[in-house]
Amino acid sequence: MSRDALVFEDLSFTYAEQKVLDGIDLTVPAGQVTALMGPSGCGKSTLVSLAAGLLAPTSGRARGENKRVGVLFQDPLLLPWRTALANVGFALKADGVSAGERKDRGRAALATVGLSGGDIDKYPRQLSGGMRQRVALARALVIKPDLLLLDEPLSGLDVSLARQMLALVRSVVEADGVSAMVVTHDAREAARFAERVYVLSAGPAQVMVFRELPGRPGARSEIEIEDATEAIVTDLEHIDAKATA
Amino acid sequence: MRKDETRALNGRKPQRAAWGYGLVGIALLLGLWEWGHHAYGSLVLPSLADTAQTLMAMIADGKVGPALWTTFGNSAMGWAVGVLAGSLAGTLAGLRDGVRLTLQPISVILLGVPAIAWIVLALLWFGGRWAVVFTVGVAIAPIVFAAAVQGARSLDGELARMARAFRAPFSALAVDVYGPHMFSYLFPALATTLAMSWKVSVMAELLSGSGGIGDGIATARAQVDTAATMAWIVVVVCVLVVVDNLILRNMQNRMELWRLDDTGRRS
Repeated sequence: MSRDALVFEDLSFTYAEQKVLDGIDLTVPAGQVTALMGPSGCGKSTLVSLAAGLLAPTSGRARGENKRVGVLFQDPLLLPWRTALANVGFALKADGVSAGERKDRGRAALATVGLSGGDIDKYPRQLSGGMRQRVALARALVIKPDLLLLDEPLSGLDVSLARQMLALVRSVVEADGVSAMVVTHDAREAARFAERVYVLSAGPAQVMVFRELPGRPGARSEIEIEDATEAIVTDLEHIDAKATA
Repeated sequence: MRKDETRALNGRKPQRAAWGYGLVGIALLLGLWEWGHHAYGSLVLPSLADTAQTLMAMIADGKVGPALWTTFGNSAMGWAVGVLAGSLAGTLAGLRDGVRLTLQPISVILLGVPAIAWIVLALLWFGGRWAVVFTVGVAIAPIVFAAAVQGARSLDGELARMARAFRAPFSALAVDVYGPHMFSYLFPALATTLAMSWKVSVMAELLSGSGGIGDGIATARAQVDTAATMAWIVVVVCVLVVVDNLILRNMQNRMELWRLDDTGRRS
């Protein structure tokens, strides 16, 4: 039986006396991609912050034994006064990695996401939106994470680049046994790249639907992807209808 | 032709033109000076040649070097004290509303006190070179304070959140997140107060008689030696021009790199 990378048990979170998450039970199995979907503002990003240890639950618990957590936020959140290479190297400072090794590993991580040459010495302001997001992905990957948390990181990218990035995440998951939790609004991407999908209700968020998708994501046929997409879209429509009723 | 090459070529022309205009401005000022000398005589305004000769004689007599060193020491110490006090208090005030609301009126009052009044008070309280150091410090601290408040109040919480997500140690937070942000706010104030510290220092030395360029100007005034007075002024201006062009502008250009977009423009 596979190990669980992250488990939320009856987890609730309240902010400014307003309940954001209400009794969330969710499991991210090791070496798999778990997609998190739901209406805008329902608390998905809060769940990512709880998973990253940036917030503490009001009740319930979040458990996982991940030593290295790589996070990719909605906004790339790059240090504007550091080059792309230095931004990637920044993630290694927690491990006390030497400056030389930070550069070497940073270069390799940037090459993985398709950035090399003069681009790695550019400042974030000199890079396009897609390039910045790739730098942020390289920063999340350079630490060789056990767990990757991706909070709608590809929403601003064009479709082909977003797909490339997700394919890269998928290949890292398969090659290194990394676990990933991906917040997304795109049912098709979830159906293509994830093993399981959780759909949350509007806030205070609860898990409304849990789907284990058939087969391995890489081996899924277009028909299977189409069916899974339809099923997820139906789930989302039901939740929308309930919220507006 | 590559985009950056074109940009470099386009950048040379305006730079050359700027130098040209600058030289015209300096020539105009020197011309006015010489005209003033002819119009009002040497007692009011010595000629350029007289001033240059007096300056050379002062350098040969070994007056300029020690005076420069003394003024440098006084202004540097005062500047360091003012920067330290202003930035620490300003950062604290930027982070804590209570501290800001308490210190802001004090800062406004200190800014309102003329530097000359501080010199008189400092002479009564300390006397000698410490009066100069104190005056410089107290004159520049409120300016640095205001910049530090702005810097601390605009710290980017999201970047700190990112740093915490990657478990960045405190040293990395200080060097990579908070430090550069604060420095980008403090730098203009540091540059302004660096020049100001020299001017205040010379003024305080003039009244305190504790050595330095100000003391030299006081002696020249007592001897009604306008050429020596102008020579000392030339020394101060040269120091400020050198500091501004060789140090501050270079630092500023390096610091501004990250603010430029892909077309080389500041966005």
